[in-house]
Amino acid sequence: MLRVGLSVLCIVAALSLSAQNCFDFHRTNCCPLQNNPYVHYAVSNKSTSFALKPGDSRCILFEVFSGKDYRMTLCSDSLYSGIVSFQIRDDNSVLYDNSDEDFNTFLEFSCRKTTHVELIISAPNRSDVASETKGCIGLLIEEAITPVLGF
Amino acid sequence: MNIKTLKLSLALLLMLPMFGFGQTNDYSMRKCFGYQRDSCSRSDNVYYKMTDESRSALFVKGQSSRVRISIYNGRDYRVSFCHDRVLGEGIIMRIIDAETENTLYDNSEDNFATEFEFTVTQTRDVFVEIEIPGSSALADAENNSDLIFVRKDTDMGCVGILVEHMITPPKGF
Repeated sequence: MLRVGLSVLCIVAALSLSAQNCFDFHRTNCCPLQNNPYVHYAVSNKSTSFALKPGDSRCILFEVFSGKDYRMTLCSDSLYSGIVSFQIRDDNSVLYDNSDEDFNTFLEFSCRKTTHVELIISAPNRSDVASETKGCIGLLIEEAITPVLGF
Repeated sequence: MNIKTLKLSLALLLMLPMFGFGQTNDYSMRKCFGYQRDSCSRSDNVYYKMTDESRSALFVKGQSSRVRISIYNGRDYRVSFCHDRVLGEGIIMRIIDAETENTLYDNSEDNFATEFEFTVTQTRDVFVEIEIPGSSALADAENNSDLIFVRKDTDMGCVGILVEHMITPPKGF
């Protein structure tokens, strides 16, 4: 019994160690490209980092609220050389696809309608690396209340 | 260090957390607060006084917005505006009769002047309208309620309207 318990503990420890390779990757590597002096952003707790194999995808469920501004910054380690696909989808359609914009890593928008969206991040295929190789990807999400425009 | 200084330091130390809690994360209030007071140049005429109807606000390219002010018979007014450079040149200021919607003054017919002085002979309400030339996704999305999100323009800037007035000086002997 003790042996089984120890084995489980070892497996969990090994898994958590490998997961921690990308721990807080978004905090240390994702740097917003533009700074808007009129909007004061706060980091959302939906910001995340994870390891992804070439060709794999990760879907993050996210709720955007009307009356809020969002700033999303994508970053990845050298394995993906900055070419990571990023899509925002709602139930019906693709709202944003960064492959239309040369794999842009920075998006700032104002939300007009509260809705649930899926943030889909896909790593590019790499034939030159081992299939088990993983690279870190981070998504920094910042949010702020939309500033009032006009008098 | 005497007792009085020690007490004062202790009181300040105890008050420190209160300042921390006093901070707010609510950034929904209008930005550009006091811009018209700090950035617009006042008249050289010392008799002009700034009115409380002076305003400032955040603008993007392609946006227009108006503010309603009351002007009174027997007074001279100087209405001027100033803006952040990011909004570009050729900003339009109109003064519109609030009742009839007639345009009383349009600076695009006056070489885009940034100030206008006039004497009032009838008390009434007018709109001072500011229009920023150009276009932006945010301004275009104003009338489209179907959009879920709009790409942000970082080209935002402040516009201030400075309204100054004085009693119309008597003419002649």
